[in-house]
Formats: sequence, structure tokens, C-alpha cells
Amino acid sequence: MDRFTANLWTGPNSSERKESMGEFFSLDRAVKAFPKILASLNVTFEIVIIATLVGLLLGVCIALIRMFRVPVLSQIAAVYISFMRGTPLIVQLYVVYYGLPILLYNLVGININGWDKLFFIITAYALNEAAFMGEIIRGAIIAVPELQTEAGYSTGMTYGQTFLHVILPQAVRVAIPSFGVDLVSLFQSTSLAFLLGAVDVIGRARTIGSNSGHYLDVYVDAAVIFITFSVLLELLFHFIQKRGDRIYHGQH
Amino acid sequence: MASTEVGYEINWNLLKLALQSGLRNLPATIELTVFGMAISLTLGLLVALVRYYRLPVLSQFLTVLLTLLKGTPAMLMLMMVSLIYSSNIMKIIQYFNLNIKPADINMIFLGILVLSLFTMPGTSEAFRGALLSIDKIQFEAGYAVGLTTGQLLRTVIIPQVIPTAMPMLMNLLVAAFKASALVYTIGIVEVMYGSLEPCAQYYQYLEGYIAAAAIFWALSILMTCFGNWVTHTVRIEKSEGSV
Repeated sequence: MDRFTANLWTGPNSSERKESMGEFFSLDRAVKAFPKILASLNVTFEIVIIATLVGLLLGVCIALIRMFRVPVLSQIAAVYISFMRGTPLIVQLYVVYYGLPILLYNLVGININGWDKLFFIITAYALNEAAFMGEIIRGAIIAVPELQTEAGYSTGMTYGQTFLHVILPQAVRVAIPSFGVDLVSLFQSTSLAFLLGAVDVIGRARTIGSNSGHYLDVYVDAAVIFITFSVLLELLFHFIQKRGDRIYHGQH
Repeated sequence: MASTEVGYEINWNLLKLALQSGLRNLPATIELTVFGMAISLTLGLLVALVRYYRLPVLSQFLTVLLTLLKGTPAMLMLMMVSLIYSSNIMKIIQYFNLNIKPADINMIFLGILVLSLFTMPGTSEAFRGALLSIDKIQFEAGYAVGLTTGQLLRTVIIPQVIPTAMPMLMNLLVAAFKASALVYTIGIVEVMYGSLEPCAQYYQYLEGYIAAAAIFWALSILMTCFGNWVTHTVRIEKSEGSV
């Protein structure tokens, strides 16, 4: 099989073929491997947390650029968002992985070729997140009625004060559900990071699988981890949203 | 460590080859997306109806199943499905005494299966939301004029459900289209595989990924425009119909 198919092909000639001999799925093996796979969740979390923070920061910049319609930059931001939303994440990962060293070398002459793989992976996820965060933030700020700004001005507040005390708290409340959905989807999309060699949940599961020759057990382990944390994240955001609503309605 | 050399220049000829090769395989990507979505829409509507009518046991079972599907990343689902397939295909062939080799089977149906499973929580949620938005009085009115449940669903409820669910369904269509890029990892030949094929000879992959990105981007934009047009059209028809 060609090199670029990431050796995932599990056909008759692949190394995963030995799977069909012996037991197909063993709960015992799955339970034994589970703690080892769970331990590599910190790599997954590292990707999620750094990508979210960097994405949030860049997303605020993108949202501001688009809201104030900064000439040139605003158009670039629109194209950037369209690209990030219109292409598969797997393509973006590889374009960053292969393209970023070339781009940086040609632009500023820095050679980042030997840097850690995780750097490229996190950069790709953060760049992707920035586009989605930018849209969430912009949408949330637009969702606050214009009347609120006018009310702020009429009480003698400056634009900055109005934004900070009137617009922002309401925008945050609007943004929380979308932010939660986005975070869950980012968490799940880290399942691609192993393609570039990250030893996260899936990467670790595949290492254990290739040693034992049994992949299904470890895939089930990985699925259990992903499902559990997706549900937990959803519940957390549901709780935050309910609390936000209570505070919001309590003010009236 | 990234495997590209510094001071690398884009090989424009290779980029052109990759684009041509990727575009040649566009029908397979469209097949994956369209069939995956068609199955997902059918199952999603059925699941939504079961959950809407709260059929005992089945409804609870499907709720759990949807949570499991929603929590499993598409890539992991793909790896599991392809593993189960490749481990059992020989047994199935031997059992039925079929005169085929596993390598001769087009695996595109595996990709279609995974894409339909991946989008099913979304489609069923879209239909369920739309069903819940319909006033109870419509059901009562339907029964009052003597429609059976089947007739009521077909002539009154579903025609209203589709326009309401349309924006979400169109987003899911684009999501399924983008997720179809994953299936090249198990050796299914589609746009991504096609774009990378010429690159394997040169050991230069950036051009292939850029070509794939360009094709997916262009089509996503087209699909989004199409989605907006469809959403707009069905909404107009709905409001005209109700007048």
C-alpha cells in the first residue's frame, strides 16, 4: 500500500491481518490496556487546551477585524475563515505540517524543520480553531441588540465602558452553547493527530495494538474515553449555560 | 520532525498533476457524500419518529446508540469498521463459497457506512427538533379528518419538517463532504487519494495536499451556496403554501 495512506489499510496483506487469528475481541485485554491509554489523555488535553487558548486569542482579533470592517484585513479574514471552514481538517493538518516550515523559511529565514511534531499539530488545530472562534465571537456580539449600546451611551458611558459592562457579559452568555459544541468537536478532532505521529489516546492505542496484534480492544478503549469525555464536556457546558441563564434572569 | 527540506520550491507541474488526478476522482467523493447522506437522512428520520413517539425500549435504545455515535470521532469509527471488515471478509467469502478476492471488492461502501453513521446523530436531531416545533393541533386536525398516522405523516407533518430542518441538514451535507476526505486512510480512492497519488512518485506531498485543499474548498463554497438557495426556496414555498 502506498506510503500516504498512513498504513491504516487493514487488508489481507497488512500487519493487522493477524487480528483474525485468535480471539477477535477480549474484554480482559481491553481492561488491561485501558489505564495506559487513559494516561496519554494528557497529550490530547494539551492539544485541546493550547489550541483553544490560542484560537480564542486569534479569534478575538479576527472578530474585531471583521466587525470594524478594517480594510484589506477584513477581506483576508473572510477568505481565511472560508478556507478553514471549507476544507477538511485532515488536509489543513498536513498543509501546516509540510507547508509551515517552507513558508517561514522563505519569509523570515527561520528553520523550524527540526521542531517537535506536536508544535505543528497544535499550530494546525489552533489556526483552525481561530476561524471557528472568530465566527462564534462575532455572532455573539452581533446578537446583542444595538439598543443596548445606545442605552449604555445614554447613561454617559464611553464605548469601551459600554462594551465591557453591557455588551460583553451578554455576548459571553450567547456564545457559551456554541463554544461548548466547538470544544467537543475539537476534542473529537484530535483523533487525527496520530496521523502526524502524536502519542495521544489514539496514537497510544495503536502502539499497544501493533505490539499485541489486537487492535479492536484498544480501539474500544479509545472510543470509551472519547465518548465519556464528550458527554462530560457537554454536561459541563449545559450546567454553565443554565447557571448563566439564572444569573441573567436574576438581574431583572 | 517535518519531512520537508528547507528552501523548497513548489513544483507547479506536480501541483497541476495532483489537481487533475484529484478532480478525476471527484465522482467517488460525491458518491460517498450523496449515498452517505441519503442513508443518514432515511435512518435519521426513522430514529427521530421513534424518539418523537417515544416507542418503549426502542426509543431508549436509540437514545443510547446516538450518544455513543455522537461521542465517537469519525476517524476512530472508520478504523474500527475497516478493522472488523478486514478481519471477517475472508470468513464471509469462504462461508458463501464466493469466487472473489478481498482485494477485488470496492471498499467504498465502508466509507459510505461510516459517513452515514457519523452524520446520523445530526440528521436525527435536526428532524426531531423540527418535529417538536410542529403544533400538536396539526396532529389532532389530521386525525379529525380521518387520516391514518402514515397518511398524516406523509401529507401533513413531513412536508413541514423538511423546510425547518433544512439549514441544519445543509450544514451536515458540507460536514459529510469534508469528512469523506478521511476514507483515503483505509485505501478508498477519492479526491484526497487521487491528489496524493502523483506525489508518491516524487516523495513531495505538499502539492498533493494543496491540490486536495483547493478542490474541497471550491466545492464547499458551491455546496454552501446551493444549501442557502435550497433553504431559501423551501422556506418561500412553505410560507406561500400556508397563506
